[in-house]
Amino acid sequence: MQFNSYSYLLVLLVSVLLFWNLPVRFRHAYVLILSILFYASWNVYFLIVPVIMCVIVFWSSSKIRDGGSAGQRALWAGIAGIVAILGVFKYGHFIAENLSSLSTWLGLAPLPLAWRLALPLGISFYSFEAISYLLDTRQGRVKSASFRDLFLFIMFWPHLIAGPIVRTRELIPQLKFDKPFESRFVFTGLDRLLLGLVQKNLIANTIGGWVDEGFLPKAAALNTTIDNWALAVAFGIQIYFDFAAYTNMAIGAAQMIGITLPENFRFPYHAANPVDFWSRWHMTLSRWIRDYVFFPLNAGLQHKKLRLYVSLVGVMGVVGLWHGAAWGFVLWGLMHGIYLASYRAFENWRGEQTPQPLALRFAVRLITLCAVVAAWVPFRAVSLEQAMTMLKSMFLSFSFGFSFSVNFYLMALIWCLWIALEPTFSKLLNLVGEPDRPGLLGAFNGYLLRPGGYAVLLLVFMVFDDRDTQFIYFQF
Amino acid sequence: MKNPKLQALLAVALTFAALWCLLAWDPFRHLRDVFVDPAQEEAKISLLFTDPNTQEVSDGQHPLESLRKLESNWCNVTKEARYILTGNSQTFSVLLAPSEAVATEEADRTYPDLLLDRLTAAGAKVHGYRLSAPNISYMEVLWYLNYLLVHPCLIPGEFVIQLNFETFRKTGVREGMFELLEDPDFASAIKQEARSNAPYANTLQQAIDQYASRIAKEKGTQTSSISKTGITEARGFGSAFETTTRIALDHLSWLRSRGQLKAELLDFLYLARVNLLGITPTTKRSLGGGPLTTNLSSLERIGELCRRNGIRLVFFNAPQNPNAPLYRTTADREQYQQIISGLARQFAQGYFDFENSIPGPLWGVWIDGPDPIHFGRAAHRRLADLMFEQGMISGEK
Repeated sequence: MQFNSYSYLLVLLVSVLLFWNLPVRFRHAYVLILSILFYASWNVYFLIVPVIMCVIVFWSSSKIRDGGSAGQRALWAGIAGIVAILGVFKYGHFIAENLSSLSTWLGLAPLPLAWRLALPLGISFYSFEAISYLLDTRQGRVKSASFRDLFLFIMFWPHLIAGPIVRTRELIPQLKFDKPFESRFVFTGLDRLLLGLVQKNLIANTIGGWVDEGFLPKAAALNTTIDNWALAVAFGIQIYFDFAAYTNMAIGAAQMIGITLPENFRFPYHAANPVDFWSRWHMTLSRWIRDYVFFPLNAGLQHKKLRLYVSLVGVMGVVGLWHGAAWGFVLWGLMHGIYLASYRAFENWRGEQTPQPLALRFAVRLITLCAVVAAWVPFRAVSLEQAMTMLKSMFLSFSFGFSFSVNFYLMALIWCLWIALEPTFSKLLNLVGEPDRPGLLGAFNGYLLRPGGYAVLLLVFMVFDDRDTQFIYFQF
Repeated sequence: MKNPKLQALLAVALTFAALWCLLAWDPFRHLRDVFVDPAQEEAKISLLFTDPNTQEVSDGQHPLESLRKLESNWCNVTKEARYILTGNSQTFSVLLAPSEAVATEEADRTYPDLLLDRLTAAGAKVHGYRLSAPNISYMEVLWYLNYLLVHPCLIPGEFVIQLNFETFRKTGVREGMFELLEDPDFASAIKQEARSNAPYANTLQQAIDQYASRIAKEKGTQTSSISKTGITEARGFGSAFETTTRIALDHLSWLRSRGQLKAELLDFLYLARVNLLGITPTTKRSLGGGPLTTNLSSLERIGELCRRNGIRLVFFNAPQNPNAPLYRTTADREQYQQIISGLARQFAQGYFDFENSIPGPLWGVWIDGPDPIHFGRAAHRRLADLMFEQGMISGEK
């Protein structure tokens, strides 16, 4: 059941209505049932994977709570179990394929390829959440020891498929569902939900059609330099609005039942430098990687700069691989790793405390934007070969001309302008204020301005309704 | 209001009421009308001659029914000469020139209709069929040809293709044409095409995948399509539930209008582009990149298929408005001429150049001035006469 489908919206409306009319003691079970049904709506068999993962995590976390070396062993066993499940489903075929290629290259008989397993939706996301549950348990941050809480922490439908990747301390305390109803839950929830619907249907889907066409393998080789830059920008727009749309809808749906999920984006294309970009793009993944991988790996190595840079590139390569079992994703991650390491080296060379002149700040901002856009090419390209052809045309072998309809370039330009103005729009929207304030202003807001705005957003969603597209991050 | 639950419920109810009002009021039509010149609207003829026996009447949106009807007709006349003419909206639109009177009560005929009339009047025993669609791409023509070839009754003696500068910039296969994949023989043939190494192959494969995905969603079944990340799409009861929901919602008349709303919004955006940004239908352009290569490879494949199946392939270069040439530079024009003459030499049994056949005053006026694609009544007659006189249709069986 897609977030931007009519069936989901109708079910959500009814579910929220029922939720607030249920006694508090039933709400936990009710939300758990809804979450299970939501996940099963794709494929009932998919449920087996998170259930097994939860059993492993529950067993492991019980042992961890007992402490001692047995606890430590249980932690590693739990993490190994989760990584093994993720590995088999997500990387099994990729590894077999690459081993087979290697074997052929060495002149040996190709290996028989493993049969391809269906990848359970959202496995990368809930695997990371399961690992964070174990690590947080080890650090004594998980207060609840109940399987019910663990299962709902993993299965909670708004974040189940594509994040935000939540921490135990962010979600588990809220799973009591004991907040009294406030109308702002519905209003702020609808704000985010409808904004997401429009971002997905109006922006991501419409520009996505052009991107699909431009990245067709045999046609891409014929694109001009301008076409390839435009396609990279267009994909940057598509993936941002697609993922931000999902996140907005997830946050909105959770908000409607009184649950606050963490934010995932903060105007990423306004980043001042590569480090800043990763504090604005997929923020919950960045902090997960930072806290659970990068910091532990590099503890006490601040003075060993080279090792720090190599580790940064390596970790980002893994981030790339987390997205999918393909070399394009790895290259994307490595490119970002190089950006981050280069910027760190540049900062060290200049001295971090030295203020940057305006022109330099502008140049770094522009280079960051171009670098981020260029990195989308291997992320989207269907093969490394295609990515290299396109990158070569963008940076080395120039050719000019516009191969696609003017509408494509125009659309890309309009959405770029939109992105440029997003912080301003956001400030203007904040002026609209809360709908539950008393008096005439509150009534105007709650009964005229917001319903009118919601109706316009719903109309746009319906007009640009397209059942044939899915969210990009559903693949990961 | 003190009760927060009632407050929220009222706001949701008001939202649906406002949505209902918006759908009923049709805001995009009003927006579009800001830019529409009523005189230009009148010049665009809406009462056109329609005959499902000689035309694909859905303009590419639902061609299967049209082609099945054609098959039942043509199976009765297999021994007589038959031709199919394909092209873009120029072949089925009339946009009156400023000197022409406003619409008459009689339905207007476009040049494919008039050509067939002339042939019939001259006693030729020939059956003609117009298989056109707006903004058609040559990948779509290849799509159609593959369908014709797997139905022996539909294989024409002559296949006439309109060559047009603008068409070389179009790409893809429109969703409406996907339904031809319901035919197993065609599906098998087009999958074979999609497996080739030709530049058009990816486009065909994309259409096949989109259709498979759509069908899987409608039926709630599992597909075997695999994405870049290795995910095998799986569809559970959610998809079937969505299909049921959509069917139920389509019973509400006010919701059914959303397709029309989209068309009006796109019209408005197009007019806004022309009027506010000055990017007009007559803005000059060049050919190049993927669109040119995929179209070219499609035409080459069409040429091979026609040769292999004994079909007489005829190309005609569509008229261009002398007051609104689309070529950005002289080099662009020369490149286009080289491409089409090369294609004609290599594959066509007949080639007719009508590029300069329609004088400027006979062309329609659209939005910002002379229309580069569409012309008026007299021009349609003139072009049909020229095609007839030059013997574009040989009447071969």
